[in-house]
Amino acid sequence: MSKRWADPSLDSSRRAPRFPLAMPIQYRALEDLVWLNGQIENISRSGVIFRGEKGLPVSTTILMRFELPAEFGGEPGAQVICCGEVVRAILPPAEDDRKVLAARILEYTFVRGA
Amino acid sequence: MDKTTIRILIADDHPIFRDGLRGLLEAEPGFRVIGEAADGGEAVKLARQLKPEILLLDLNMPRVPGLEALAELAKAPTPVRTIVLTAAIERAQIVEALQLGARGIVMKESATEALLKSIRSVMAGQYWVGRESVSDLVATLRDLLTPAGEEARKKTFGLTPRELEIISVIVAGYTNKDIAQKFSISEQTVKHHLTNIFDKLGVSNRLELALFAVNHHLFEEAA
Repeated sequence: MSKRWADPSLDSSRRAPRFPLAMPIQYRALEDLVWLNGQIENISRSGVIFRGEKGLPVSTTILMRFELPAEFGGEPGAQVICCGEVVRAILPPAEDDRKVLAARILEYTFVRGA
Repeated sequence: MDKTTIRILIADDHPIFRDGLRGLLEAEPGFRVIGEAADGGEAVKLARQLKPEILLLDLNMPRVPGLEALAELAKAPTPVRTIVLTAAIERAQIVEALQLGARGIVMKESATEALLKSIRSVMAGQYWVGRESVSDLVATLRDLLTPAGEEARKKTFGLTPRELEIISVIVAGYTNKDIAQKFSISEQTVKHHLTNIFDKLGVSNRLELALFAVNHHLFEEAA
């Protein structure tokens, strides 16, 4: 397992490019036990925007995990586990719509063979 | 006739298409169709006789095809501004048509508005290729003439086969140590490769590299 730190200072000098990778994501507040399901809308090295089944308050420390949709030589893409912080929570127009959350990525880890 | 009216000659072998096009053009203020030709030979003859400001020329016509007509028209001291209006065209034909003096290439499937815009752009001294006005014909021709190998190089951002392999295993979650073992190289060499990869792609960390690779399907290039 490799563990890396995102460098938030980079954002001040250059906005991180966002990738419109629509991938499933699971997330939970650090103190919760149950993973919730969501769908990534876009993601960069420093943050992710996704729609989730439940909103979380801004400033919540959040754990997120998603699998990279790739395969090479029979090996699947890694699972990426991120620790971050909710920076924005957008209320949906309708009650049954999924909540939009924006989270800053503070730390991440790649896990092989997820 | 108003001096600002654009006089147009239509050359296409399908009479229903010509009728429809005439109707569309003449419904627009400032456009007037002054003649119709059913093949390339007739188009050349009518272009010389009527001296239209714009010739809308189909490529696939019987007897004298569009490109031959274009070559013939190019011999005139002041060739008519020609827009190739075609259902299908290959890249090499676009290049040939532009080299023969065509000022625009418009697909028949295009929206009417695109055709009208192309005519106005060409009248304003611009070129029109596909969906947009082109001011730098040389650059357009250079892009069109870019060989397939060059396209592939652009697609892989100048990465070497080894660098593409390294990206693939990074997406799979390999550490530097894992990569060194897999490829029987030192960790220092892995770091050296990574530095080059980061520089070439303009990424800042492993996560961004993996996201970039997935977004651009780089691991498929390594396979």
